[in-house]
Amino acid sequence: MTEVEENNTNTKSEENNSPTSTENNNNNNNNNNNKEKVIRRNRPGTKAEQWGNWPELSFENMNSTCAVQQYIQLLIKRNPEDIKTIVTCPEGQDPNVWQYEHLRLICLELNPLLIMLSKECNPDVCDTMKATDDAEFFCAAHPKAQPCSAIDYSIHTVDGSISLLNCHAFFPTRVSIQPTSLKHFSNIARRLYRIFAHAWFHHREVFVEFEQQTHLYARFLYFSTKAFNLISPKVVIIPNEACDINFD
Amino acid sequence: MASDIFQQTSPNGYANYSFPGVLHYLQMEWRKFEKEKTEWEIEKTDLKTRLSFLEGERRGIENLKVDLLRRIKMLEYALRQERIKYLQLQQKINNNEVNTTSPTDKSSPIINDNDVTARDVTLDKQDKPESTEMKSDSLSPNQNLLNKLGNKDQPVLKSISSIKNEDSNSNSINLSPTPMSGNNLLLYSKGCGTLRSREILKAYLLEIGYWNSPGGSNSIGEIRGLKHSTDSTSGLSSLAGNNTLQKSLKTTQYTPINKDKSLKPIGLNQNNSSSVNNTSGSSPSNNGGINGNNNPYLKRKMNPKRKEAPLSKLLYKAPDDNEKEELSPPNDNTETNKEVNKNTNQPVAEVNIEENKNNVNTTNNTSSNTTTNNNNQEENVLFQPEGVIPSKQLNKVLKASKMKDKKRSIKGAKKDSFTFGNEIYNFDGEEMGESLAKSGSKQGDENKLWKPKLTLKNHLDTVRSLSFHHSDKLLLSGSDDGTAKLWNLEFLGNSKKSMIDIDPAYTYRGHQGPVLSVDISNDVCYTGSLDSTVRSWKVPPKTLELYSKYDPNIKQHTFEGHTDAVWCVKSHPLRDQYHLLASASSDGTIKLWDTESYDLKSTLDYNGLLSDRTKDIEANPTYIDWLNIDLSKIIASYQNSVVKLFDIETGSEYMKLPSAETYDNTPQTQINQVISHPTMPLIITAHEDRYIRFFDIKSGECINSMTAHLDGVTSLSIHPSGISFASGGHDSSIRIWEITSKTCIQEMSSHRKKFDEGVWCVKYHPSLSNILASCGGDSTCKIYSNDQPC
Repeated sequence: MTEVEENNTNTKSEENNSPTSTENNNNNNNNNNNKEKVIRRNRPGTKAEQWGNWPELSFENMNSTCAVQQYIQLLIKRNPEDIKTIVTCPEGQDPNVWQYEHLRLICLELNPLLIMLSKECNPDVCDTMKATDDAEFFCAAHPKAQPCSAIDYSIHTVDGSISLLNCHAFFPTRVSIQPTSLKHFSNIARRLYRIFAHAWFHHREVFVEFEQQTHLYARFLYFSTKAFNLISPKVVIIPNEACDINFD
Repeated sequence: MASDIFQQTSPNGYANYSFPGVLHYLQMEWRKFEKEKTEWEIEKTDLKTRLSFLEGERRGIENLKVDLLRRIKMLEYALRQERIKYLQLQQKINNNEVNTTSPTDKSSPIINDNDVTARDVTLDKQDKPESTEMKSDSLSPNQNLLNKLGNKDQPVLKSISSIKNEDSNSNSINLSPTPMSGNNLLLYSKGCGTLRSREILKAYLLEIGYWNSPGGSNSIGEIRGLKHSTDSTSGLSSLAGNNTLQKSLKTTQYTPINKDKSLKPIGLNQNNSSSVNNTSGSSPSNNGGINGNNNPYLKRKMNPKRKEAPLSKLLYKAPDDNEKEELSPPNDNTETNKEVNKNTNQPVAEVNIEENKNNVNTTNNTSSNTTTNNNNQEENVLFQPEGVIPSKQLNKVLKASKMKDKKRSIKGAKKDSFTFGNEIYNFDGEEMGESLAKSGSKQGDENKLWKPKLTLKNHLDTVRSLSFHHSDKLLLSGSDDGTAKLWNLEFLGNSKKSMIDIDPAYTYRGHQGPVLSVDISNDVCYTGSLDSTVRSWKVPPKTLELYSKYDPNIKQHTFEGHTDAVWCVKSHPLRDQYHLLASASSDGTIKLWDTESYDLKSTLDYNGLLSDRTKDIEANPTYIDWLNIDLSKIIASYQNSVVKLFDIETGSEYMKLPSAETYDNTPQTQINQVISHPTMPLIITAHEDRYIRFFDIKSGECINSMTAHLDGVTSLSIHPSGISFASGGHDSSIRIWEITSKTCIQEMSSHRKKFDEGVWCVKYHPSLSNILASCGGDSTCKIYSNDQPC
């Protein structure tokens, strides 16, 4: 509903070609009162270097349902190494929605890792999902948990997490999270952690390269242990050296 | 050696045959032949499309006919119902008269009368159909009376009694194929009537059977052609609706008034159709007038004595006169007046009794209002007989209802409305109306409104592009999250329940950046990405289970060559003859790839073949499509709002369309998409500055230019029938347009914005006429359907 309203105000102010946009509560316009309205979209034909190249919008001025996602992506784009800023939930923001959107983005950014792993890791090399030799993990994406090869486990886990995060029964809306669905966050985080662990112990080069590019593990670790208590410190088996960023 | 010999012979009188020459000639001939073959092929498909189109049209007309018949049947039924009530009334009145013969007591019998009628109506309300038969039986003595009383000049009365007879004899509903014959039927006497009605029933059932058979698509144009007749029917149906409302009978009956129709069929019909044409709002008032007219004159015949009704005087303060004009003052609607006057050419209505009737109606209304819902109440107010509501008020209500109608028709898709042509007629709240709407909508085919059926949630970021398999219900979607997902929608139409959570059949991972464009062709998926590559993927076997083993062979090939984001991939529609894939990139070029050998065939930039590049690249392509009427041409739209057509054989520029009318040197006025009509020489462009433009390829001119959305238009898709198209825009809305009239048939607001990105893509299924998909900034894809059998 707010979406529709926003649209309406947009068009009104555009039609008026408005100097009145200052009074207008439309936040998009507030940012650029007297200038021409900035339109934030990647139009067809845009060059890759111009992708997402628009003035930042402050979080208070984001009022669409995708605002949290927009904001986190903005923070990551600004400085992917600034883990604390990225992960810390801003004041006034529902921390559950904040976690939800972070998990979505982590699943999204695991894509490149899966692609890199799929080149190296195949059932011949890693026929079971292991981190250290202590335990073998069973793939929970199936109706009945079963042993999968490492690459299958990784892909299934990411796909399963994405499905879960998009499941209408548990997460019907991105605006608020049902309290009963919160338990899934730690489940997802715990399983995703194993992918990192496997990469670290069995495909070190891939892990290091990926981490240098994205700092995703550092963010994930901070997010799920420090910022929100999603995985217990006991489960953390990757040594601290894996994290190229020291956030303590 | 061979060439030497040829060269030697040439001086001896042979024409200059040389081996290369012959070869060249043969090649030329072969090429010519191939070209012709393609042309034939195209012509053939064109004709086929045309054929199915015409067939669909015919079916549409037939459907329409059947619907009209249905309506007539309905109206007749309602008419009979009403008539029975009347006779009953009559009987009671007669009884009353017997009781009170003294002329001084005029007022009291009238009041009684009203009470009685009110009671009757409520009675009817409760037990509709069953009671009617009974009543007709019990009324038979009364009929004779009626006939005696009736004026011999009025055939109408006779017909009433004949209907009675027929009913009691045959116990079946009258079925009449056309209004005319329906009328005749009414006049048939007993035996003959039964026979005939049986015949008609048969014919009707036949037609119903035909109607139920899955129909082809209906053309809007053809329905428009029929508009006149449609309008009159809509008048009819609204008549029925209103009247029932007036009686405020909320049951399945198509109660009373319809008799108006079938009784004075032709003349009235025409009158109606002319006035109904204007607005749906005006028709109700007409009905009111007619309604008032009709019943009273019957009454009058029956009780000629009761000319002066004091009650009516009280109500109207109008002189007791037989002239209709006297009645008109309370009625403000001039149109109605005219109508009324026309009607009075037929048997002259009796004022007093009409007023009585009105009175009756009021009582009915008040009693009914308590039982009906808000909507009905409103309508009841509308249709209360003329003098009861002050005319101003009436007008207000009328206006309000018109407004409401408008709103509805814009919003579309309300359950109690159905469409004919462009117009949406509302049946206000009556259940009858709804059932009508259902029957009407079933055959509306093309005009049927699209309804959201399914939301596909699995992408994690903006979904930018969609593509349907050419025959199967497979959808490919490409997203900013770097993946393309394949959705199997085979269950669509098979299961009644709406499925909420659908997992993609496969997730294609491989691109290192957002997937900007997708295309399926013959079980191969093509994706273009911000990472400058185009990738091709196999469609996994349908038996593939969710979460099965990773199969590296799904990845087919990576086309590398572009140096910047690939914004569009399009494989050639004739897959078997041209193994061609075209890709447009923001490096300024369009590349053509061979999909068999994976070779790069040619590179076109803004000026054509790359080899003769003399100028700088002026703009990047934004979208490409194949020209469907000449598949050797490719259409490209550019950031500078120019559309160019290139010949893929020669690589030369074939045409440049004057599409940059509003270009202001910024990407804010660029063209986002360009599509070519499947059968017509028509190109449609979607502009960032809200325009949609139409171009005739034959003349190369802009036929039409219209502001289509509240924000940039991103995407277009033409319905497989070729008569409508859908557009999506950053205003988050999807609009359905008619191609011939360029009018908006429907608007849906569906996706939510991420930043300023609303709807990114809309796509009709290329061969199934009832599937539409859209995607946008909110990471979801949505599937719409118009409820036809697949």
